[in-house]
Amino acid sequence: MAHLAVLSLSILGFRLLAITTSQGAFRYRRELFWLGWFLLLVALAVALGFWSLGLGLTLWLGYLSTGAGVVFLVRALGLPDAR
Amino acid sequence: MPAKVRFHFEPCLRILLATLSAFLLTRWSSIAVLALPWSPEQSVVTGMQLGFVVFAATVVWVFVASSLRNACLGLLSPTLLLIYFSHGAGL
Amino acid sequence: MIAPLGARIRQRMAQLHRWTGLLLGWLLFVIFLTGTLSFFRQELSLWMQPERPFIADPVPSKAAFEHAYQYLRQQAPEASHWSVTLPDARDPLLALSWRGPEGRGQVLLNPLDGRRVEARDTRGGDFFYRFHFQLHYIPVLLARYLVGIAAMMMLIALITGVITHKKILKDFFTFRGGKGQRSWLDAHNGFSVLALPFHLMITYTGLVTLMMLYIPWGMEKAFPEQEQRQHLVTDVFAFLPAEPRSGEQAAMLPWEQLLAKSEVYWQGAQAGRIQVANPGDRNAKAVLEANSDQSDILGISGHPPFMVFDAVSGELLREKVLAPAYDSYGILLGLHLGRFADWPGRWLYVLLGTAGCCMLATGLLLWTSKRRKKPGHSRAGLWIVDRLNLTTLAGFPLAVVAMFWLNRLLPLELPGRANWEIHGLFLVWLAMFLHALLRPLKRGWYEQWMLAGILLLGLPVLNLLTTDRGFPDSLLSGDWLFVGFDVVLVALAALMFRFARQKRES
Repeated sequence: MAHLAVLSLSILGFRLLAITTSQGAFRYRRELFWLGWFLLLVALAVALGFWSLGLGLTLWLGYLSTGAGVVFLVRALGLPDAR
Repeated sequence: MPAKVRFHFEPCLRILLATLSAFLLTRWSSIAVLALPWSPEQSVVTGMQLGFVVFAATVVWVFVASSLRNACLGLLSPTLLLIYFSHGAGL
Repeated sequence: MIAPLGARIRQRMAQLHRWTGLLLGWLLFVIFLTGTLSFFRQELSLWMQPERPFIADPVPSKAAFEHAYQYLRQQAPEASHWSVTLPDARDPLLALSWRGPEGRGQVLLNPLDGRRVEARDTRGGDFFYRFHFQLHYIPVLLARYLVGIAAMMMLIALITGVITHKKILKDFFTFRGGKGQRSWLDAHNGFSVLALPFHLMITYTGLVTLMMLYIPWGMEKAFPEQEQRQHLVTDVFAFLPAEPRSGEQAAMLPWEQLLAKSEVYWQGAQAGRIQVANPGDRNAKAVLEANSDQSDILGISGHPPFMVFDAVSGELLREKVLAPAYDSYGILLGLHLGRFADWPGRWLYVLLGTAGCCMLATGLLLWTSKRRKKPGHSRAGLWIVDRLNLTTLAGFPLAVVAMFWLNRLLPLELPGRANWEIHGLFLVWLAMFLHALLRPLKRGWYEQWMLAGILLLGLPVLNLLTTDRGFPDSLLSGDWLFVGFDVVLVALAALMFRFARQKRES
C-alpha cells in the first residue's frame, strides 16, 4: 500500500510541475507549482513513515524516477494532455 | 586518400594520460588512506570504496582541462600529495 | 580515425561520452539485461524447475532444520562443509549443499516432509546472475576484469553525459519543453535522465561489489599475508575458513538452540542460512546468517548479521563486525543486490534496470543514426556497428527467450542438460549474428523482432503443453509466479511486435 501511495504522490507532484512550467497562462500557477514540490516532499514523509531511513530514502528516489518517467512518457507519446 | 582520414595525436595522448594517471592515482590513493587515523581494516575498505571515484574523476579531469599541459599541471598536486602520504607518514 | 578534440568543454565531454559508451556498449547492454533479470533470480529458478511443488506458505525454520540435519547426517557424514538455505517467501524449498574429500553435492528438499525434490537439471536464474559479472566461456578472473572495465567506462559515460547535457537536466526538472523540443523528446536523454540516480548507483555499487579484486593495493600493503587479508572477508561475510579436523567425534548441539540464540540477538530477524564446518567433529563450527530480505529489522545492508558458534559447546565465537567503513560497504552492496526489497520494490528495481537497458540501446542506435546522415563517414564502420547493434539489442534478448524454450524442450535425462541450455542460448545468439550479417539491415531488425515476439508468445503455450502448471491451473491454485510469468511474456511479445511493425513501416 505504501508503495502505491508514494508512487501516486510522485506522479501527481511531477504532473503538477510539468503543467505549471510549460507555456500558457492560467490561474494559481504559482500555488500549483509549489504544491507539486510539496507533494514530492509528502511522498518522502510517507516513505520515511512507513519504512526505515535507508529503505525509505532508497524507495523514495526509485519512485521519484518512476513518477517522473510516467509523466515524461505521457507527454512524449503525446497522449491527451489534461491542460 | 582524402585529407580527413588523418591521425590526430592530441586525443590519443589524452586517452593515454587519462588511463595511466587514473590508474596510478587510484593505486596511490588506495595506499595513502592507510595514513588515516583509523584501524588499517577501516582505512583499506574506505580506500577501496573511494578508489572508483578517484579513477572516474581523474579521467574526466584530463578531458575537462583546456590543454594537455593544463591537464598535467592539474594532476601534479594530487599526485605529489598522494605520493607523500603513501610513501611517507611512517608507512 | 579519431576526430580532433573539441575546443569547448562540452564538446570534449561529448567525445569522451561517445568513446566510452560505444567501445563496450554492447557488452554493457548484455550485462545490464542479465543483471536486471537477476533481480528475479529465485523466481526464474522456480519457473525453470516446474517440478518443484507449489507451497503457498513458507514452513517455519525449526521443522525445516530438522529435515535438513537428518538428510545431511545420512547422506554426507564425511563432508567437511555443509550449507543449508532455509525456505523463505521467495523460495519455499530447502536447499542443501555439501563439499568434502568425497566431492560436492547439492539437493532440494521439501520442507514439509523432508523428501528429496527431483527437479530438472538447470542453472535457472543463477546463470543470469553469474553471467552478469563473470560472463561465460572465458576464465572467471579475466571476465571479471573485463566487466569491471566496462562498468568504469559506464560510470565515466554517465558523468560526461551529465556534463554534456546539463542543460537538459535543468530543463527536465522544470519541465521546460518548449525550445529544446527535439532533445527533450530524445528517448536516450529521457531514459538516462529519468533514472539517473539509479544508473549512477547501480554502476558504482556494481564496482564496489568486486572492489577487493579491482583495488587490492591498499589491502596488499596493509596485510601482506594471505591469512591477514582473509579476515577482512570474515569480518563482514558469513564465511567459515577451512580448518583441520581433530579426528575426535563429538555430538553437535541441536541447531534449534543456536537458532534461538541468534534470533534473540537479531531482534527477531529470521535466519536464512546455516553452514557447518567439520560436522560431527570436536572442532565443528557453525555460522548462522540472517535472511537479508527483512529490511524492517535489518535495513538495506548487503551484509546480513551472522554469528559463528562452536557447534559442540554452543559458545559464541565471533559475529559480524560493526564499523563505519564496513557498514557503508554493506549498504552499497545491499543497494546493488536489492535483496532487501519486497515484491513491489523488486519490480521497481527491474523497471529502472530496464530503463538502463533502454538507455544503452538508444545510445547505441543514436550513434549510427547520427552518422548515417553524415556523407563522408566511413561506410564499413557504420555497417559493422549496425550489425552489432542488431545482434545485441534484438538478438540477445531473443537468445534468452530461446533458452527458456530449451528449458522446457530438452529431454530431462540428457547428460549435461544444464550446460546445454546455456550452449543453446549462445548458439541461437550466434545464429542471430549470422542472420544480421546476411540480411538487409531493416529486414534483419524486422525478422528478429518478429521471431522474438513469436517465441515470447509461444512460451505460455509451451508451458501449458509440457508442464502441469499452465495458465489455467496456476490461476486456480493461486500460483501468482506462474501467472505473472505468462502475463509478462505476453506483454513483452506485444512490445516486440510493436518494434517489428515500426521497422516495417519506417
